[in-house]
Amino acid sequence: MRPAIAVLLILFSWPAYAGHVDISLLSARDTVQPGESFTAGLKFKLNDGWHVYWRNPGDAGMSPRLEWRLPTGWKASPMQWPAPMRLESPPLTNFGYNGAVILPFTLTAAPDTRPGTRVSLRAKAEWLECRETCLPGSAALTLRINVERTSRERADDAAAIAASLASVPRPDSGAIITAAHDGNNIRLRLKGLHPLAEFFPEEPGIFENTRSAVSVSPLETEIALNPAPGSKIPSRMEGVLIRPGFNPVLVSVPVSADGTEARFFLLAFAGGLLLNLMPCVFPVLTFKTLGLLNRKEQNTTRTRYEALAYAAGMVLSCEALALMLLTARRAGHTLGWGTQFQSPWLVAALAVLFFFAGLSLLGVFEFGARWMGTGSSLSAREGRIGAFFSGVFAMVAGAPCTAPFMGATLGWAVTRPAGETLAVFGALGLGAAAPYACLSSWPALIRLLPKPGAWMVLLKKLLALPMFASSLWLLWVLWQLLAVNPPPQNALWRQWSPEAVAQERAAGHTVFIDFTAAWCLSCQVNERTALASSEVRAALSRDGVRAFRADWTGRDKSIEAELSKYGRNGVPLYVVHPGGGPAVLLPELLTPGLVLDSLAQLKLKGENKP
Amino acid sequence: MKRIFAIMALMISACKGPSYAAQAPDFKIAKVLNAPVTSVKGLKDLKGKVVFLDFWATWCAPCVASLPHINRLHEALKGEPVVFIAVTDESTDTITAFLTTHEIKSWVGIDQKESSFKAYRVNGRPDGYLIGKDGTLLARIFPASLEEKEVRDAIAGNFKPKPVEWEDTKAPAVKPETVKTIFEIKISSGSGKWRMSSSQTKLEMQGVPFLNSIARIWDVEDNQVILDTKPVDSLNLTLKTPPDGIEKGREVLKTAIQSVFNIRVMPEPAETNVFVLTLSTSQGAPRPKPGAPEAGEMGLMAYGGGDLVGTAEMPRIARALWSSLDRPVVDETGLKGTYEFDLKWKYGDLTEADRVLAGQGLILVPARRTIEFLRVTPAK
Repeated sequence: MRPAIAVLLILFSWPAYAGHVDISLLSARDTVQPGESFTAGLKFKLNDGWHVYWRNPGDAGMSPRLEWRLPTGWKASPMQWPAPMRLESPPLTNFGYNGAVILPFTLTAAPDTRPGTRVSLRAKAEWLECRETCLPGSAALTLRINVERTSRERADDAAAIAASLASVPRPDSGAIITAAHDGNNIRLRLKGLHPLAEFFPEEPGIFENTRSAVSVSPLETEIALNPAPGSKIPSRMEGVLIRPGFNPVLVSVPVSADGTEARFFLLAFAGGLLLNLMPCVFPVLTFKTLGLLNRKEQNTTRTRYEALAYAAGMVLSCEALALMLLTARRAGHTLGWGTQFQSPWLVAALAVLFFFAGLSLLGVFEFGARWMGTGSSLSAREGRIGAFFSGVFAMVAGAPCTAPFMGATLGWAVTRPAGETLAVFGALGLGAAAPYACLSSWPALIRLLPKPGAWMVLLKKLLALPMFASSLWLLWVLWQLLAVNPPPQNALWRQWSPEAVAQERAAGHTVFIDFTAAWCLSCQVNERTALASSEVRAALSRDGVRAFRADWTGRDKSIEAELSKYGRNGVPLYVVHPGGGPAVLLPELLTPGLVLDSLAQLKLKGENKP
Repeated sequence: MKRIFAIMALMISACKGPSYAAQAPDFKIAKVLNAPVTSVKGLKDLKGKVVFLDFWATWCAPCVASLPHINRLHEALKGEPVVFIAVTDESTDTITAFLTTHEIKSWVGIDQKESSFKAYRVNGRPDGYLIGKDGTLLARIFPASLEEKEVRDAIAGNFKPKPVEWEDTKAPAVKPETVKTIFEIKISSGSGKWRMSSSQTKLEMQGVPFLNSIARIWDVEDNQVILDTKPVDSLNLTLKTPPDGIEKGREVLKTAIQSVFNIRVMPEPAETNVFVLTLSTSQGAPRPKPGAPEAGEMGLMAYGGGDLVGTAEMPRIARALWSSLDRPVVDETGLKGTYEFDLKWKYGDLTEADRVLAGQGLILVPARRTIEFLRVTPAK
C-alpha cells in the first residue's frame, strides 16, 4: 500500500480499541483563512448507560483530555465544558455526561500559512468511560482543514458545535449569587425562587458531591453545601449553578463569614412586621388604630408612652414564649410557635376570650376596654396598662398565623444560646409592634387617617366579626383535638409516617410533605388556595409523585422530631424530595407556581443535551 | 478386568472435581499493603489458600462502590484460608492517600508493572477472579456479585469451576447491521460544499472540482493533471469496499470514471524543469531525521505554501515540496524509510527554502527530468 494512502483525508479516527463510545473531532469550518479562529469540538457518542466525566469527575473518575500535535503557528484553546449532570451510584456521586456531548474549543490558523495549504491537525484523546465497569480509552484523531483565501462553513457540524457552546456555563451577570459559611457548612444564596437548583463544584475534594438540600424563602433560594470529610471551608466558591429553565451559570464568589445572627435578627424583625398583615393580627391593629382616633385629645407624649407600652407588651409576650420554649427544650419537650394550641384547655380558654372580645366590640358590655386601652376616657396610667395588655393580646391573637421568614428564623433561634434566642424573639416582637408604635408616635401620620365619625362605630362592630369567627374556629380546633376522628382518607394525601416516606424515596419517587395543623391559619389558607389548585392537584397525582400530610393538631412526638430535623419548630412546613433526593424546603406562603416548579419532572438519567 | 475397572474408576474420578479446570495464570505483585507479606512473587506464595483477585483503581467509581462489599466478605471469612487481594496499577502515594479517607480491609496489591493485569487480560474494571487452593482458576466473578457461599464452597473444595472466557478486546466492535454493503460506487454531478473523506473502506467526495477529483482518484498531485476536456464542473463520489479492498476498488473506480464520462486518462511522461532532491555531499552535513511513525500518526500534517510538517517517505516529501515550490520535485536521495520534518519558510523565497532544507542535509538541484503527467482526453 502506497504510503500516500495513509495520508488521505481522515475525518474520523481509527480507535485503538473497541469500546462503547464513538469519538471524533468536529470542525465548524471546511476551509479557513490564514490567521482565522474557528470553533471545533471533541464529540463523544456513548452507548446506552455509559458515561464520560466532567472537568471535575466527582467522587471517582477521570476527565477526558486532549493533547495536540499542531504545525507551528497553529493554536488550540483548552476545551470548554457544557453543563454536567449528576450521576448518582450510591454511595458515590459523579459528574459527567450521558448519551452524547461535544466539548468545544477554538482553533486558530497560523497567520503566515499560504492559501492552498492542506493541514492535518493531530490530537490524542484520553478518557474514561464507565457504566458498571470502567474502561480507559484513547484514540488518535485527525482534523483535516484547508487554508484558502475564503472561509467556508461545515454547516451541520457548525450547528452542533454552536449548540454545545450555548450549554457551556457563562459567568454570573447580575451578581445574583453570594456565599457565606457558619463554621459547619456553606450556604449559597441566589436571588429568586429555584427549588430544583443544583451546584457543581469545579475542583474535586472540596465539597460533598451528593445533591444538596435546598431551602426556598420568599425572596431567595439557599443551597446548603457540606465540606468533604477532612476538608476545610474554602475561601472561594468556584463551580457551576444549574437552575431548570435558566442557562447554566459560572459561580466564582468569595465565601464570607456568615453574619447569621444579624441576618436572623433582621428576618425576625421582618417576620414581625409581616405578622401585622396576617388575618390574625390585622383586625387587632385596625382596632387599636380606631382607638387612637377615638381620643378626645391627641397628647403626643401620652400616645408615645402608650406606644412604648404596647411594644413592651408584644416584646415581653414574645420573650415569655421564648422562655417557655427554652425551658421546655431543657426538660426534653419540644414546644414551638403555635404549639400552645395543642392543649385543649388553652384552646377552650382562648375561644371564650375571643368571644367576649367580640361581644365587647359589639358594645354589649365594656369588657376589657381598659385592658385593651380603648376606653374613651382613661387615665394615663390606665392607658399605658391598657396598651401593654393589648400588645399581649395581639401576640396571642397572632399565634395561629405564621408570617414569611418566621419558620426558619424561630427554628434556628431555639438552637442558639439563650441570649441569642431572646434577642431573636425580641426582634420579632419589635417588628410586630413597629407599625402601630410608629403610627401612634407621629402625629403627622395620625392626621393622615380619616377623621373620626359614625363610620368608626360601624367599623368597630364589623371588627367583632373576625373575633367571633376566631372563636368559632377555635371551637372547631377544640373539636379536632378532642374528637377521636380518624384522619380523613384522601386519595391524594396519604398519612405521613417516616417509614412510608423512606420507602417512597428509596423507590425514587418525588415526595411532597405538608406539615400542617388545624390551629395553624397559614396552613389552612395554603391548603385551600395553592395546594387546592387544579394544576397542583394534577401534579401531585402524577405517576411517581407521592403526597403526604403530617397533622400536628395534637401532640405528636414523631412530627416534632421530624420538624427539628429541618431546623424548625412550627408549622407550616413544606418539604419536597425531588426524585427521592435531599429535601427542598418551601416558604411559609405557597403559590401554585412555586409548588409546580418544585414538582417539575427531573430529566431521566439516560437523556442528555445533544 | 480389574485393570479396566481401575481405569474407568480413574476416569470417573477425573470427571468430577476441579482438576479439569485450567491453572490460574501466574502473576507477580511487587508491593502489597494491609498484609503480612510485602509482595507476592507468584501463586505459589499463596498455595493452600483460596484467592480472590479484585482488579480496581481509585478513579473507578464502581470499584470504589464495591469495596465495602469485599470488606464485609473479608470480615465474615476471617480466620479461613482465603485471601482477598485488591490489585491496582496506581502508585503507592495515590493509594496511601486514598486509604486515609476510605477503608480497605483486604490486602491491597500495587502492581505498577501490570503483570497481574496482563496475565488476567484485564480491560474494564472492576474485574474479579476466584482461584482455588491448588491454584486452579475457578471463575471470573464481578466483585460486587461475589457471595460468601461461593468463597466457602471454594475453601471446602466444592466449587464447580466455570470456564473463563476473555473477550478479544483488540477486535473492533461489530455493529449489527441487517444489510451490509459489500461494494458501492456512486457517481453524480457535484453539489454542495467541497468535502472529502476517506478511510480503509470508503472514499467520499462532495462538490470536488473535476480536476481535483481526477488527481485524488489517481493519487497524484493536482499539478500533474492536464485536462483536455472537462465533462462536468464538479463531482459527488462514493466508493465503499470491503476491508482492505480500497486499492482494488480504486482501480474499478478509475475504469468507471473513464467510461461514464467518455474520457481516457493516460499517463504522459514529459520532460520538464524540475528540482531534484538529493542529499548534500559536503563533509559533516546533517541528515534528515528518521521518523518513527506510530499507527495512524504517519503522514504529512501540513504542506503547500511554506510548510513541511510531518512524517513520510522521501518520494512523498518530494511531491509535497512540489506544491510549495511550483515546480515538480523528484526524489533522488536514495533514502528508504520514513523521515520526520518540521520546516517553515516564506513562500516564494527560494533562498530561504534552500537554507531550511540544507539544515536537514537536503539540496534542490535544478534539472530536467521526465515527470509522469496525466492527460484527460475525450475517448475516441
